[in-house]
Amino acid sequence: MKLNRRDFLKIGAASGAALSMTPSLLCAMELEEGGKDVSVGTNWGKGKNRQAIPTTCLQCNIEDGLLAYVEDGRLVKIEGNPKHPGTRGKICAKGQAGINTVYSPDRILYPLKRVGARGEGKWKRITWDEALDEIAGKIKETIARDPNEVMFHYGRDRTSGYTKRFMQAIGSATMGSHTSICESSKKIGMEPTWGPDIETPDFENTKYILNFGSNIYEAAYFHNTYIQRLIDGRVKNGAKLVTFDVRLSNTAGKSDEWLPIFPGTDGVVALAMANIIMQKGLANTTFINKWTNVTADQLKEYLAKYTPEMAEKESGVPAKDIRRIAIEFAKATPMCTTYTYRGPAMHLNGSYNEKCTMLLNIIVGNIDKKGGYCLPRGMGWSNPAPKPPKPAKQSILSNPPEYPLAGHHVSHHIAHGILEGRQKLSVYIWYMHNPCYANPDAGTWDTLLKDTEKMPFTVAIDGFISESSDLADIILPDSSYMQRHDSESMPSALLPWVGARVPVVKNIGEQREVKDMLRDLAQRIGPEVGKYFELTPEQFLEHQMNSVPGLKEKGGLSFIREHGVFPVYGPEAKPEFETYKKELMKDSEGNFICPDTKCATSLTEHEEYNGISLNCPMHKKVVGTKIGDKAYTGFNTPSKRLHVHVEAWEEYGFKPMPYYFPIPEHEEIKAGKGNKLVMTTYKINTHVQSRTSACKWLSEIHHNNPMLINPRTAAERAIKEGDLVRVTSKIGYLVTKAHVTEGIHPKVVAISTHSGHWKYGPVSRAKKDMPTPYGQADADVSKNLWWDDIGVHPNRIIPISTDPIGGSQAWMDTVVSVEKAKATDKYGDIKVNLEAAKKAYHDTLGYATKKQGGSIAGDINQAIRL
Amino acid sequence: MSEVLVEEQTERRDFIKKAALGVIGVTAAISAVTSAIPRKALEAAKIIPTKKNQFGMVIDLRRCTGCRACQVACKAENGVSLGGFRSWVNYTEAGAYPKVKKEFTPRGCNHCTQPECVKACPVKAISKGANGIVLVDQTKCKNLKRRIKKCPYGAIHTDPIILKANKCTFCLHRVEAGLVPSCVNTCQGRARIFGDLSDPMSEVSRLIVSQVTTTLAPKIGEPNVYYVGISAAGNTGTDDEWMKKNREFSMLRK
Ligand code: SF4
Ligand code: SF4
Repeated sequence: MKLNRRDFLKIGAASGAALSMTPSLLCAMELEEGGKDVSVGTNWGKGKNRQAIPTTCLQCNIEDGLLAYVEDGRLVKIEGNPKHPGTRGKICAKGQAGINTVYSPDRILYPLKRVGARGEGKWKRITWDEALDEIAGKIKETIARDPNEVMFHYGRDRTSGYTKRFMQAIGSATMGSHTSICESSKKIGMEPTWGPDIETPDFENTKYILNFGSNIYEAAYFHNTYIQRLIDGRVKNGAKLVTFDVRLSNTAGKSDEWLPIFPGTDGVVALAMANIIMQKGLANTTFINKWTNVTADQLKEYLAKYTPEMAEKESGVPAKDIRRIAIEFAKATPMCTTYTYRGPAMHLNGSYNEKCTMLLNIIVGNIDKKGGYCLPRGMGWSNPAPKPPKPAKQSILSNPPEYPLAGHHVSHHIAHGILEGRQKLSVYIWYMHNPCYANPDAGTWDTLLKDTEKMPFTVAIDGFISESSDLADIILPDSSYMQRHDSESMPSALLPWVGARVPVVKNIGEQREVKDMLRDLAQRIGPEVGKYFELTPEQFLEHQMNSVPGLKEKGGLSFIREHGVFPVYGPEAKPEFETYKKELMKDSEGNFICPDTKCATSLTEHEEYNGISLNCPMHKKVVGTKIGDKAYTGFNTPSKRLHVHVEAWEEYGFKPMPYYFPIPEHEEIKAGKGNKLVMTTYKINTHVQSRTSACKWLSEIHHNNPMLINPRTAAERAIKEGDLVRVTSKIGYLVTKAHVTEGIHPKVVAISTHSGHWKYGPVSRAKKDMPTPYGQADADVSKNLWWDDIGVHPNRIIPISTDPIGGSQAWMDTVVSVEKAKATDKYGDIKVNLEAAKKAYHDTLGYATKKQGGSIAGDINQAIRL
Repeated sequence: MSEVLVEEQTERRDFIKKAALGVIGVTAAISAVTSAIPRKALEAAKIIPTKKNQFGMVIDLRRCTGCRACQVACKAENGVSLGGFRSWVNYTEAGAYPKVKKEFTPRGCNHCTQPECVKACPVKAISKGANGIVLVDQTKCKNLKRRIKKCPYGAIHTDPIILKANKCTFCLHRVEAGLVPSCVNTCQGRARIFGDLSDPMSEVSRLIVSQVTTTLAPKIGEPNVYYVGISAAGNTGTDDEWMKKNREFSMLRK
């Protein structure tokens, strides 16, 4: 039916439709929302049109689609790409401040070589030839001896395999990442159960969100795309949001219910809820019996011991709320979901917590349903040939044997590993990482990077002179994200997409993108390495884009340059659900055949894991599962069904079923003995952990990080708002300011991780007169920067503590005492005892699997007074 | 129904664009649509078709995520220096543990119908433009700071470089190009709705009629930014700590 506006208004007038429909119009706009941009002209009027260049954000790792507007060769404005199915034209404050990232006076523009001792802060500008020749020479000399003596450690990679390619080309397996100080226990908690390392809840269509410690409004993975849908779900769909958190994040503060919870007890609350759901007959037993490797009866019996009363004792969450919420959640199925990114995994029992919360979805059967807990969707590409072979030797630093299940490195252990001589290094290169700032026990990294014997040659690929690159021998200036080529795909929406990061503006100095540096190094090392790097970063990206199914026909990279994303779905596109239920075909004899159409071999059936698996003799693996008289591709697990029971964990002495153990160090606090507290850290919406401090518009809003403390807890210690306090952990203390707030659990204090740089430049340190000899000054900063409080960074006093399964740092477990500062204490004082830090590291190794000398693993598995 | 809506929005877009550029007579537009909404409702909401355009905004706080993208987008869009905000978001925390809630209140110029700042400026540097947008003529401004204090909403600051009054223009340059203001463009929660309040069929007018809205305290000068779901605490007008400090700094400027 085609109506014009006048007809519509008539209908509206007659039926009152115009009024009654108004609420659904909340998103409509009369002017255009975006997609083009103009400068300010005279008298505030319209000026010049600006050129839009689609690209992908990297202020944080959500990877939103952007339109970058350029005027006279300068990046002047950024907005969300309206065609992007995740971003939908909207970006966050950090994304908006991307201009600052490109032009920050904190940024360095030239290759620098250290003169004087490490840490003395004396640099000289050198040419790229000088820098790369020296580095290539050192690498060449080292790999002739042992390639594993070259280490590459990244914080945020996003090179779509380029850094690994470089390391494989030189034959080294010694790589480090940042995953263990981020989310690895969440990944490990999920992967064995259903394959992928993350979930993509259908927030838009859900009715009930059970949020365990995730800050979806501010900082969780895919917050920018998820919050848009969550808001739609809440406003249009009336979805209820229930949040368990120790702190009143923006998410908790906006939830229908905030339930403060004792740190590290999410798992037991989830298990108690699962128990209630089973007891009340609200579980989807058919789904459990068909699609998991346990039966509903087994599960019911297993869960019976986790009562709400027991969970209340552990978590402080009232048993009656646990009961009520469990029932509400189950009754909303399949329009219900949990979300956990990533609080529950940040504990010694992190992987278990993740597995317990995941169980709630499995038992109500909302998996991959509309409005439910969905599998992530992504798109892939292939990298060009020739591909270097895998390195011949393993690296103990990369994959420490104590953590056989931690498939995402345990990189926060690296400093101790090197200092204790577990593996010799001759060249250490780090990239987009700030180990002396971002790690727990960060002080040990200072010791390491200053040690010229253990670390004879160090190279930082960094945009800034950071706490870490300040200790390097050579700094290679990294270009900003507006000057590089990368392919990207993230499960940030239920419609999969692929996008790219392309250069938007020229570098203001001599910076280069990391791919370009590695390629140049490879060629300088010699043809055996250089042969894998014939393509330029742009050609490499072009190859990747052409390999995406369906994209080459549309123009490959040029399509991406025009639209920023592939596919361009349009507003009517709807996601598919229950993607694991792709049915297998049968051959003429009635046998199921391999879903790989090129293979199509008849499959053999065998019983295992409480079900029937279908094996492909050609692929030599299980490719489907038979349920009733049908067969499906299922989940990416050994049986293609959900593994509630994880055998691999059992093999290493851990519990195979969703399980909870209390964190030993928290026992006294929970019992009300002594006056210790748990210190947690957190993120807010205007910063990522380290590098956005250089963005003036973000640091203007958030530049300090007082310790949050409950009024009751503060009163017990005679602490008032703004008072200086001393926070002491088992490895040291810091002196900061107190912010007294009702929005925190009385047994917890919290310090954000965004503040307190002691290196970086004038913006990060709020020193407007600070000279920028290797950067470009910004008159706005040198004239107008008005704040002076830059906060105190907490990571130095946080001891290493590692989840023995997933390998994550237990960021949210630190036991501290808090008192008013002493008369001699100064704001910003940080003192650490590195011997105590080393002991903490060894203590946590004790929790590792018994198979590798751990002594406590068995105990945490038994020590349950449950 | 959605088909109709799409159709209607597209046409409205063209229409408003032309109206903003002054191509279409506003009165003609109004007479064509006034029958759609009962006059009583319009009167109750103080939206009475007039011969004058008045751009305004509805901010739906149920949708605001407190992300402050609007605040930063404004800096980029309008080249606002450090030490001043044309657009900012205040946070309020209300209640006692464990029953505590947060509220976010995006703030800025209300482009009042009877602006106090216009009255206060002795050199007549501030005026109401054709679209009802309150604008500072920086060539006339003498930085007398009188209007900074006079604005009941704290929406004017001194630009530290040129030492002239600076405030929100509803991104007039974008509106003239047929685009929503930058804060609306980036709004993560789609909480900000912008349009012509003098047109009873505009989305902003309809929202004001159909939703419970209120303007900011002290409601002096007939403000034209309406809030859905604001609480008493959120409406106190108290700035966050960093914003207070920023203002102190701004007032020190000569
Ligand atoms: S969430 Fe913000 S910073 Fe992160 S990718 Fe999106 S726009 Fe960029
Ligand atoms: S951009 Fe929108 S959602 Fe974010 S703070 Fe501003 S008004 Fe609220």
